[in-house]
Amino acid sequence: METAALEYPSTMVTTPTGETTIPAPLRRYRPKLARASEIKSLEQLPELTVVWTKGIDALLSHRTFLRMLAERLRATPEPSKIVFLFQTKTRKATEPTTAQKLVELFRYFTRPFDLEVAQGIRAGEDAFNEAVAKIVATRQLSEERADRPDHFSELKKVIEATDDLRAKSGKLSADNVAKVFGLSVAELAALVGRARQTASKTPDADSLQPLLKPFERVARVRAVLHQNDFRKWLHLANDELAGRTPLETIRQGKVALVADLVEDMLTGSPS
Amino acid sequence: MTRSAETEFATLLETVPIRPMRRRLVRCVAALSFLEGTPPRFLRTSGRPGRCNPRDVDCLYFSETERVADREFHGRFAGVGTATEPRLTFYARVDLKGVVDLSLPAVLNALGMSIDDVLEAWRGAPSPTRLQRLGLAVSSQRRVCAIRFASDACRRAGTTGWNVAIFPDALVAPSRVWILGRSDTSLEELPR
Repeated sequence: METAALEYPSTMVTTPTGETTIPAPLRRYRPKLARASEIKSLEQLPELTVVWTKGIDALLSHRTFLRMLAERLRATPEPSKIVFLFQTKTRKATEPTTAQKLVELFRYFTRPFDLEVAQGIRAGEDAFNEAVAKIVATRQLSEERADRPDHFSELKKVIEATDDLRAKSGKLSADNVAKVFGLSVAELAALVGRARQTASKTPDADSLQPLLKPFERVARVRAVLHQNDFRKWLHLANDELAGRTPLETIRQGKVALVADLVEDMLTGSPS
Repeated sequence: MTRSAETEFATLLETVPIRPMRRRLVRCVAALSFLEGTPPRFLRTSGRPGRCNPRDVDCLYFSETERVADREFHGRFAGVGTATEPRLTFYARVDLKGVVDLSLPAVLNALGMSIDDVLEAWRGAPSPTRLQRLGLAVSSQRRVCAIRFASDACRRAGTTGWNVAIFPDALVAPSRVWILGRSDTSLEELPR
């Protein structure tokens, strides 16, 4: 099997207190350094965030930092992972209290599967490699999905139902998509992993097209729902989305999940 | 569930009780100006996961009766209308030699599954459900080509109904599926 060169993920190193340095195994990813106070101003996290801190007790004492980090991860589309790297090893790693503390840590986050924990630099290197591999594999998977057959794209009713998402250029427009979904352009930009300025300056930019495509797939349900009913549906708790509304699910960065649901709705695929 | 458990399903499928099925199946879809007379490829999962198939495992779902198909279609629009929206009904005539019927306790026992596994939430699950893993195993062999399973839409509506998941990759002659158009003309026949 041919091995392609890895395109390293965007990476950031942070710590809940003061300044930090870059752990040696992470240098090849050329990470940015960020103070805890800077996290709040980020629109979203990079693909890989490393939190380097003394130990889990120290980390758990920084509740505001953890809440902020969790909030940012929630607003960040997949793939995005956080590795917690502890400088010191817990004396007895098998202690039930360690597991309890990890549960306490993970409870801050709505995406616990995107979290990894490592103790010591050596274990950290393995955790970085694993996180990078998962990020690259997730990226490739979503690229492959983009190539799948689209049975709806040429249907007249679907084209009509999604026509208002497009600019005069015929391309999907961030402005129009945001309007139809009742989002601000800034929020939509954050959801698709782009700066607000990018989405505002050229709302129908080529680079935005694949990112806006899942929103178009969701909006296709308007082929059978009027705009008012569409908005209502976006805000109705949905059994198939674990009781969350489609809009909440989209805000969790899972627009593709809602787009799949819409295709199942239109094609009557059993629930 | 581990990889060894997936291998376990593959082994269990060699001996699990199976039954034949010869009948008409139904599916309701939105009336979206689909081209008449062409194979309705949109009935396939096309990479999307479903109750019995993980992502990227091809599957074709139908309901056993029009009542169940209608519930599956309209149930998702509860609270936002479409009761009056036109819908299309597709039929399939199937002659399947190996169906795993999950309505039978003996079959569930043989697979080490429970009805909770059949009705488990699958959309957005962090890893494939047991039923999806069973579907993955089905798609990789030829003895079994379909799974008959309880309709969750009917369960939520307080009734019962049955659906069938057909795995094209596992479908070999003499098993056959004809997807029918108007006047029962065959739009697509599987296996090709």
